[in-house]
Amino acid sequence: MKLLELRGLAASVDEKQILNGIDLTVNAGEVHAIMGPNGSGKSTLSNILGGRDGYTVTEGEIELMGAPVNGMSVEERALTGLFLGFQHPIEIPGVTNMEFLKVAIDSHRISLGEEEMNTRDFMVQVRDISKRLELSTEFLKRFVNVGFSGGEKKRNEILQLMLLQPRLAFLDETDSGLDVDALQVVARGINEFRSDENGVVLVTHYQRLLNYVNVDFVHIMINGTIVKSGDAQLAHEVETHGYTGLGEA
Amino acid sequence: MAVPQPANTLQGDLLKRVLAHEVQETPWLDRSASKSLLNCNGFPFPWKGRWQYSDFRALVEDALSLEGAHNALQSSHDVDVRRFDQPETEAQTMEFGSSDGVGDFPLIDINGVLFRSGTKLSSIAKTGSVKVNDANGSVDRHLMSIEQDAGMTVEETFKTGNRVVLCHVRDNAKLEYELTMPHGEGIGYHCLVVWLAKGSTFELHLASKGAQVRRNDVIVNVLGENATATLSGGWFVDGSDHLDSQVYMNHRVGGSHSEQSFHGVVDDRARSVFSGFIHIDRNASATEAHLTNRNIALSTQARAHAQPELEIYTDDVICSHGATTGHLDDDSLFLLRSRGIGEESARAMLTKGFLRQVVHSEGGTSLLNL
Repeated sequence: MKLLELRGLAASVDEKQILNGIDLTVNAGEVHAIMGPNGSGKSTLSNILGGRDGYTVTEGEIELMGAPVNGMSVEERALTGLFLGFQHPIEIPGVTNMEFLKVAIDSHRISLGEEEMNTRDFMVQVRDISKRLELSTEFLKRFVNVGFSGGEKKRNEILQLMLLQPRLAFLDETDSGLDVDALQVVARGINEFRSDENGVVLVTHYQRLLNYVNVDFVHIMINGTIVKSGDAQLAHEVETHGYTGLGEA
Repeated sequence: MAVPQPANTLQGDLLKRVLAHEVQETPWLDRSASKSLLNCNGFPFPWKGRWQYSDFRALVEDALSLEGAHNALQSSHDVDVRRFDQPETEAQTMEFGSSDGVGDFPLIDINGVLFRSGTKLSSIAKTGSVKVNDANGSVDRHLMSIEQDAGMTVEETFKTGNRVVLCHVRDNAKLEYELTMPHGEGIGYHCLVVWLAKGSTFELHLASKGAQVRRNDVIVNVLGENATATLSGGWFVDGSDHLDSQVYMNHRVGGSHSEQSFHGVVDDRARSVFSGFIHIDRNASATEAHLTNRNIALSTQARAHAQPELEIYTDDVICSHGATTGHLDDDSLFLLRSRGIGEESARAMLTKGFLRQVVHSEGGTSLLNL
């Protein structure tokens, strides 16, 4: 099943054209990596998929789970099965991680016509995921990302991913700012999440995350368009030769 | 046709009416100190300075109209309680009428002329506690004294009426004050004045909704070294309510510390005002004083006015102040919504989170549904 399809997607931010015609299809069971230098439009792509204000599709189409996203709100896209992993997870003082996670999972359940999750079941599940991600359950009582280290923030993102079980995870530079140990924990989370039913898109600068997560496709994005696609071998080529020369490919 | 009267004439007439007012039930109470201060200072010009946003005359008219007497003290523990209408000595009758020279705060003196009920509460134990109910549409006045090395916690609720609370915190004593102000249908004036002696501690936990008109003054006079004042609180004002909160932090001696943190939310057509004034005397070197006030407007017609002021007359101080007024953070809103949380719920979560950072009391948490 097609989880995501981009056809000739062009987009602008504050009237500045950033994406210049992207074609991409992600099917269930696939893991894709989008690599590219700074300023190539990777984060814009993430925001445009999420339906963020200020980001405008100027041409082309986006389909999520086979349906066009036109007119869908941010939360509707999430409830359809899209999960965005943020490059810089922000802090929300005053809102506890626990409250945030509970309201998020309940929003998903209610949209499926189910009842809110029993608090005890919720706690069991969240504690189990936290343990697997080597996150202390103390983090649940604290405000969202407030006082978390860079690695803890990213693990908190993966915790949300594993709890919400979306159809498509679009992870924007989840590996940035991580030491090797944290990188391995995050990669383990992604590997546990992936299945034949869902898809993953990893957006990254570097090949190093791909040492821990096997990818099926690698796409090189430069100046708002995908200039080359291939298998995992392409990531090794970028690591060896850099992005130079790929722009004209 | 009636000729419109200039504002200062109207103010003069109002002042005369206050000064001529005699509270019949308490002829023995000496109100001369308050009257002479009013006579001397007069009334402020309306819609200027500290009265820029709130109708001073409406508050005075309201105080003049309140004729009931009400025993607001709900309970006390380890505290000596004396009602003002049971004076034992002449000095005690004078004490109630005096405002100890707070300065140019005419509503404190108007309260001194008009109040009909009140208490004197003294704590000599570390475990003193009192609960004070709403003024219930009356004019009342409470004197509190936390004696040397003693402690007292106050849980006060106030909606409407006119109330002045005067607190002396003696050497090394501690006052913890929870002031909870639910929505009020009418007009309300509340003033809390605190004098801090050497080594004393004052903590204020404020939580407020709005009222038709509500003015809330907090005046802290730091008179002793090593005294500490920590003030925090939040408010949520909606509908067409009005809340005007003013804090005056006066550091009269050095080596003292004050910290203020207030968050306000306004919605619908409501208006909030926050004025935070820090004064540091010439003799108050080695003072540390900080103030932050953040406001969020949830609707385009809501208004939040914020005015932090610093007046420093010495070097060797550490001071900061800041005030912001804006909307809910777009990035936070996007994060919550991107996890499937509907926009309305996400806004409610962020609004509560914003207030939770500064509202810690049980009463405040419950009032603001945090």
